[in-house]
Amino acid sequence: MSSQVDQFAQTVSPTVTDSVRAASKLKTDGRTPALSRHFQDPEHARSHASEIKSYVLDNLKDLLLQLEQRCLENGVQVHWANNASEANEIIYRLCRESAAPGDTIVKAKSMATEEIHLNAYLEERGLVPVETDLGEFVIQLDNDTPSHLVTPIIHKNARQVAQTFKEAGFSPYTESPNDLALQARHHLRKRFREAKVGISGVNFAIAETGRLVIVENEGNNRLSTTAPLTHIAVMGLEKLLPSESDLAVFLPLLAGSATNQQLTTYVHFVSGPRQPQESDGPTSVHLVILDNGRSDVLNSSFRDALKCIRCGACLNACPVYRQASGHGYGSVFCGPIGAVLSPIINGTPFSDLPFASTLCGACEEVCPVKIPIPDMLLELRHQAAQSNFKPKVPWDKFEALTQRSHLWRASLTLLPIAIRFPGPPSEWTDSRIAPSRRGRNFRRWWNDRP
Amino acid sequence: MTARERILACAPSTGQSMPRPTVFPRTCFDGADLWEAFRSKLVELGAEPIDLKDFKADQTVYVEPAARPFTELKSTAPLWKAEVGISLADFAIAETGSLIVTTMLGQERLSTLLPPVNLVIVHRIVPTLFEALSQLPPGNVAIITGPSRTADIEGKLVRGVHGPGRLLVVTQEEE
Repeated sequence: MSSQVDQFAQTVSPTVTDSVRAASKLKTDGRTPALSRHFQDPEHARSHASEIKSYVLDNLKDLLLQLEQRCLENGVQVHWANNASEANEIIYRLCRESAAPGDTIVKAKSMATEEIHLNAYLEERGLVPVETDLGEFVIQLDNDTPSHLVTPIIHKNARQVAQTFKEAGFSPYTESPNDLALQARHHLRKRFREAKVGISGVNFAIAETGRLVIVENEGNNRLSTTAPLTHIAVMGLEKLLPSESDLAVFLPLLAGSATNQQLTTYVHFVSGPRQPQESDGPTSVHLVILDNGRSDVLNSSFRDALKCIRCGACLNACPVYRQASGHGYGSVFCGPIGAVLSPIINGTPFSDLPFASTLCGACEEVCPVKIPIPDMLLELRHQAAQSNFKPKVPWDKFEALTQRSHLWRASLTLLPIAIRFPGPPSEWTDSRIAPSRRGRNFRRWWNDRP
Repeated sequence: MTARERILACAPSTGQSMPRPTVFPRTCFDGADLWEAFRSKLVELGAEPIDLKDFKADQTVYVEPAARPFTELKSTAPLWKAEVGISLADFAIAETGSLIVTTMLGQERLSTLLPPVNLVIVHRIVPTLFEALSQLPPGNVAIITGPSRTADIEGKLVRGVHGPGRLLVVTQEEE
């Protein structure tokens, strides 16, 4: 009966579960107060944002064309990639125009680059991509993978990070988060200075002006995209907004949902390469527009999953995520939205992720763009049942049982006995508290009544 | 068929203007004294409102050309080595405690990023984020709200990774 996520959750150490639970709870508890401090009616803000994203998806072609046009006018070069391997080829080629094997490339945190496994692709070809977001930097040193969309090392504590830094040769040994962070800052300064290329994602690409909006708290993203002479921005084709005024809703919604802030420390508008009157910034800027399975769902019941702004609120609220942590999902996209996106993006084969949910709906309640995640999980389960996916419970046998009254009555009598022994019925009841029974057997009462 | 052609062929287009929501969600900002509201936001964010005459530059300083008319200080170090970067903002946002910074007059983007202390001078203020966005200058722009921060390690707040850990703001209100 146990799914992959269940099995993983059993192997997770208590330290990790504690870290993940504590951080998730903090974020979820803080979300509503944060949004209510800024918006008079956060629910109105969510509906508004959801409708804008519907508008984007309904008019995607026109908006993409408008974005491309404006970007070209601004001096940004625009590239289109059908899938991960095309995107990697394009990015590698662009890197090689300014960097030789062994040269440093700095990277800011980007889910799009993780989904295409860009780092591995570049490393295989002799380039050196360095993650500059603190959490991603630790992950890279550890050869680990991130366990959360927004806070990649939610599963680690300070001692583990200290160990990683010690093994990487940083000194002196310290377990203070403050000192560890400053060690990272010191180390990465040199990399920013020597980097030939900076790679980032895009939070919102504005169709009306062609500006690419990137948000962050640390400053590594602005550094990565300003210090090197070449900037490559990678975006999923759905990450658009029609106009800059839409940011007045999206920026506080994203910051509030992701980190309980009113605004992230830095909101960076990338317009294009260095102009004659500017004294710094990259001399060439590229935008890579990535499909990788997204256009396949534009006309399906999963279309609304493309509204996702990658805030991570659904992860923070999800009881399954808190138990298993992001690694339990076995995919680049974890948590509730991950269970929906993973089959879509990269065409991951059917897993039991859609079944690893209690359908409690906490994710849908906190989603800033109101993605109906539980409905989508049900639809995915339905599709799994239609295919050759073998369900863990023999529902066809159960159906036969319910249609034969003598068998059904017998099973009602046997069930209280069967759950005392190991086997499927007890797995069902082990984690559930049955209400206590009062009164007589209903059937006998019904038959006996006057 | 190129990737571009394929993607555009799959993407929907409604042909007519779909109605976009028109009633903008209201924010809580009541807009009384804008500069006062701005300064309290700065403090909440861990930024420091200061008076330029109280600022002692006993550290190596890099002064942006745009900011030079406002301060007697001269650059004593190149940008990558300076301990303090002095920049000029286009305007401030009272609602969020933010500063709009551009590359006006050749101002380097990195001066609000590299030095561990960033001192920003600002004269003009708008009430809300919504208004700020309608007045945003074109080109490469940054909205800066407080000093650099991260909570990646155990959720504990650390300032100054990788941008400036101290943000000093000089508000010189226009008469």
